[in-house]
Amino acid sequence: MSAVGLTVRSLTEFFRSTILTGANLRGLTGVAVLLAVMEVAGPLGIPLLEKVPRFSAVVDRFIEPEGLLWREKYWMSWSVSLMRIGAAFVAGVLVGVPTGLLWGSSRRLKALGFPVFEMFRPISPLAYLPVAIILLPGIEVSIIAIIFLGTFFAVVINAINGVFQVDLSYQRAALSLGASRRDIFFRIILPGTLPSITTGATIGMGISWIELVAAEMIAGRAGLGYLTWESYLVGDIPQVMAGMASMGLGGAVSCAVIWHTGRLLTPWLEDYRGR
Amino acid sequence: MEAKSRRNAVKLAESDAGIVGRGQPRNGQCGHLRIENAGKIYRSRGAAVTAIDGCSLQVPPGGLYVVVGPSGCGKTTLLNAIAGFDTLTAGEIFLDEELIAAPGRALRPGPDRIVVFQQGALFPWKTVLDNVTCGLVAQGRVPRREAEARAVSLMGRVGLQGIERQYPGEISSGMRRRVEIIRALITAPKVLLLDEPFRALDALTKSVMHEYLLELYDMERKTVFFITHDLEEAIFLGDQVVVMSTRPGRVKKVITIDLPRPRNHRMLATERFLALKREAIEAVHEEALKAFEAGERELA
Repeated sequence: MSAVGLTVRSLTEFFRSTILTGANLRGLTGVAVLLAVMEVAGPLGIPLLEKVPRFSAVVDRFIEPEGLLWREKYWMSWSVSLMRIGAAFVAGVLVGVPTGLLWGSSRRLKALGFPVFEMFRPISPLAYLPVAIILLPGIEVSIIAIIFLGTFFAVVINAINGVFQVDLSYQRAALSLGASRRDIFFRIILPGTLPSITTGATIGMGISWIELVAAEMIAGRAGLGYLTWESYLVGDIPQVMAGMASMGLGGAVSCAVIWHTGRLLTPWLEDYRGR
Repeated sequence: MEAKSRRNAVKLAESDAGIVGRGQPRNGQCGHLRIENAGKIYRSRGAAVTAIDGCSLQVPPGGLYVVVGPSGCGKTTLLNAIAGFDTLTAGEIFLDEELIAAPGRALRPGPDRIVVFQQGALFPWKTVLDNVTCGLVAQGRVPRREAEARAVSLMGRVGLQGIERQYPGEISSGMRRRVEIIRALITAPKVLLLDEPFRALDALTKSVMHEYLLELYDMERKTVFFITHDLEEAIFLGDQVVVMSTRPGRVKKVITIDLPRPRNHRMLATERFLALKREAIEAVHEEALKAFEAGERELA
């Protein structure tokens, strides 16, 4: 619906109706307040916050003559991190969705694999790193594998719950209408679970960024997490903040992309929930 | 597998003759439902609960039978057994003399007996049109385009045009119920199983839906097995109102509804209607009391 609408509507109207919405303006207000507090906390001597670098100092790190924006290393960090996240996320979804759907729809398979899964899930990604480095070929693969786990866990859990939430009467109605087992899986369970898969993938994307940094800080030689850690080691706190801001922005944007892609795949939800 | 699909093909080819709205009431050859001594005992956590016991009933082809009874009397258990969603622990059910349910028999729900559910089961991810055509398409009986043409024409005939491309979430609850009934009827089942389909609707929508259902029924005269606990609904719609006793459910009384068809809402105020209602209330109230007391005992 919205895709067609976009091409038809004029750009200004798109801007007014989609960008300048009340929700977006309120969101911007929230960000502005945060940045303002950051800016004045030092000069005003607000306890705890006074040591936080001023917002303008962080912005300076980006735009000053030798700033991050003009350094190839900064953009390399982005591309290295995005590659890792992209590869891990795609793999996590590709493996996680079928696993979750199978475990959700077959009690036996779930009984077989789920306990193992649950034992691995709570282990921190940092704890996997030594094992991954020993077992897997190369640091790069290890980092990707650790990010993969985060996405995989989130997608599987949500997909299983999604299958459970597909109302039994849909399956019964489909059987009654002459659907085969295959139809039930692909035409009932899969679309019925899609909203939960979207949720899982969005959460998974967020977790990817968290794990990315952990992995890069310990094992990386490049990437946004490495950049942040390196800045800390040389005592450049504004640049630490700049690295954090970059990751925050990257995480927020990539999660939003996943979320909206999910919404495009589930157009019926728009009106079903009156949103 | 192959034999099964061939058998289905034959069965479907026969029933294809009966796509709704041919205009000729088809006081059918098919759709004879016979329930013989059906029984169902649920076991949960060691306790055995007899939901239905020795339940016998015959619905002739083209009959509209409404089963009423207090909550927990086994109405839905019976319907699920007919539909092939749940097993029986005793007795047999035949559809056109073909055994469709008996103890130990594999569950085989199928397009010869389609259920319309209490809470509605239109697929929210399919458009109205895809919902209506999905039965025909899934069974591989007609190409999608032809199924769509049939669906559009049928929906147009019953005043549901213009919503084909919408999702179920975008149309009113009354319309959703109508679409769901159409989705069932277009595949020409032998019997239509309605499980309190109008329960969630407000009273006004409900009365409109009653006339709407009767209009569809008069068009086609399918066998209809309708369960409800709304007596007025039961009498207004049914050829026979089957009163079930409280747990264990069995047929307590069958009241013949001799109101002429086609029926309309004005009948709700006639002497005859009220007399039938009194008779039904007598029978049902006694069971409702028993069910209530049993419930009180369980809680105590």
